[in-house]
Amino acid sequence: MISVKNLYKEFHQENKLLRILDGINVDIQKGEKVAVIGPSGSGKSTFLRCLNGLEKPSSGSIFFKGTDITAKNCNLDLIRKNIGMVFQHFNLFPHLTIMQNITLAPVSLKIYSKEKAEYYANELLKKVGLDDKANHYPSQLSGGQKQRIAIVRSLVMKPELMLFDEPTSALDPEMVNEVVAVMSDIARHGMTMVVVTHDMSFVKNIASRVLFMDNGEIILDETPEKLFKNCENVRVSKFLNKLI
Amino acid sequence: MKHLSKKILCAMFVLATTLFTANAENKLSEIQKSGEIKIATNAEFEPFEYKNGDKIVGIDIDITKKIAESLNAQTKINDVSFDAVTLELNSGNCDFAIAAMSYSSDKAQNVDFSDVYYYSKQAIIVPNNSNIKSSADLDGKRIGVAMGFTGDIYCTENFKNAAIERYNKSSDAVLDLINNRLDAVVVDDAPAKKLISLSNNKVKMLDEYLFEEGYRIAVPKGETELLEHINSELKSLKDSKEIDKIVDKYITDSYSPSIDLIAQIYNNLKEKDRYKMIINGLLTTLEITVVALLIGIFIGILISAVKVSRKENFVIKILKAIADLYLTIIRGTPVVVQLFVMYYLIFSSTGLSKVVVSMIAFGINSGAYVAEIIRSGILSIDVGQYEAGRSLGLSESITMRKIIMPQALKNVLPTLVNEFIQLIKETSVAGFIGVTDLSRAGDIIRSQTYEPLVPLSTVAILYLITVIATTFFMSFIERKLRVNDKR
Repeated sequence: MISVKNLYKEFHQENKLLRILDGINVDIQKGEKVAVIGPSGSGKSTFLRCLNGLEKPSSGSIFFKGTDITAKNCNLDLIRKNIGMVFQHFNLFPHLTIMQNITLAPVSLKIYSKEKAEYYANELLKKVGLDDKANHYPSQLSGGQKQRIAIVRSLVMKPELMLFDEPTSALDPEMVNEVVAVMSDIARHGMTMVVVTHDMSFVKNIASRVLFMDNGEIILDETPEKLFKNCENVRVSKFLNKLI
Repeated sequence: MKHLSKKILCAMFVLATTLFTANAENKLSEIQKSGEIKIATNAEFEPFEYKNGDKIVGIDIDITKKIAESLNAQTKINDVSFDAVTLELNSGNCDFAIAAMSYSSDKAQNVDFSDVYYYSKQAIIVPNNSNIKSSADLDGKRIGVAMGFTGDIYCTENFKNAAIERYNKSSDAVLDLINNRLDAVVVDDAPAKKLISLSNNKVKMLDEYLFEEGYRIAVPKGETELLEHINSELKSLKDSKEIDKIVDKYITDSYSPSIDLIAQIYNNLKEKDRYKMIINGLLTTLEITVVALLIGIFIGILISAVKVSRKENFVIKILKAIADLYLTIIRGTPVVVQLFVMYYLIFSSTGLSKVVVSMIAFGINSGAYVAEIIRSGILSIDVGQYEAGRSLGLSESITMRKIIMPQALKNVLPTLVNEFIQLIKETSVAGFIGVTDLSRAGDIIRSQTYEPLVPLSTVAILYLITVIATTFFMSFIERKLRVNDKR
């Protein structure tokens, strides 16, 4: 579904060349649940943000279902309809109610009528257990609830790929589980997912593949089982030991 | 008062001699036949002849109408430059010229003058204890005059060492005289008497007039029948005190001064329905302010959206350059200058009303400030909001319209209210191009009554009430909008 070829991202800062992504090559198949882990500053988030064009790579190309989304003439808005994104800080729209947050995009883009969008939104809200919050504003919700709404906001577009940028990092520990539960439900329904995370429970229980990034490179590409059982890479095992 | 240059007189003389032969018919019978009397004047000399809106009015015009009535004729006014007034007469296009002209032997060679219909006297007002005893003491002193009037022109020419202070109203000059900011004031004698009594005789008039001159009507040379008719008509107007009434209408006010506050309020607001002028002025001020702010917000949203746009194509670059130029020019020049440029240059030939031009000028001015207010509002919105919008597949403009702008506008609402309040007061500048807004309405009343207290305080209180009401209303709106915020 996604094919990343020779991806570089660099910029100049005070006459120094900073290389954030240093030649990424990876293919992700439909239905895969990819966890991206690694120390901070390793380029995980930048890599993820390149996948839906929020970040422009310096060179290299990314193909989504055969379309090069780094090409100049590529209509990113059309691509993004099929790629959902969930942020660390939720980024709900504070001036809109929960229902308006969810239906804004599909109605503005004329994907569904307002009634249909609200019907789907209600279905999804029931699934995440927040259908009673439809007319609340984001400021009235807890962090875990906000993140579940953010996921619903992406799901209502019926995307083929979901990107998660540290979805549980900004949450209090007791709220992590309710968000992971929703993500695992999405995974069970066959969604292709790329998740940047520090949360090992997601890596262990949901991920089908783990990418370990360091200094802008993917230095390990494994299944979770192999990663945890017998890891030969020193840097990776050091990192994992610190986490567990 | 007005003197023609020698050159023009020579030119006129040549022209006149060539034209006289062709102009044989008697003007008086011509007027009676056609039922139309054509006059030449120069409508730049208030209160004798000046433009009030599109109409030419004044003492001379009213006298002309009386003469026209006596001949059962309609008046047709030909407004030309002062130098061309007698020229117009000798070309045969006009029956007579009336333009506050005084007798001069030079002119009398080319035209015939009527009897004097008005004596203009320039009075000298000084404080009671002043050491100025005659006009000879005036040079080197601080002299107050009404801008552009006879006294101004005379003093500027004759007292080279004096500091001439020019006022829009002679009443303001007298006020400064009382407050010791001036040594003398030179004004027409009729208002002078009024001003002295209003000052409770703190100032006095010198016995000597600065100068005195009689105004006359000019007819083409040899038109004795017409001249005789005019003279007899002027005599009957003088005998019946009709001329005094006309002069009173333009120069003086029949009201006698009062220090009683109630009487002042009555005189300044109730008398002649003056309160209506204040109310209309207030409405004009509000109209201009509201429309200007709406234009300002519209421009402000466009300009700020252009300035924060992340697109990098050619069109956006051009638009950004235009936006920067607009902001620089509008914020770098005074609003009065912008108003003048709009009124006298850009819209001068469009026939748009002064109020509409003011709305546009203040709107364009306000737009620059609103643009920066809104831009700061946009920059205050977390970039995650933009990214969330874009990653849902929304275009930049939809993201801007539906996500960023509503939040930005809500955040800058208090600053926008501030801009509105500024604008309410700033629109008083519209008086410069003759819009009768609230400030100018008060000014006009003050110039009619010579009493500053009531009109000025009424205007001030109305501004204050408007601002307080606006603030109250907007904080109510703000509270409503903040319901979904935890602040």
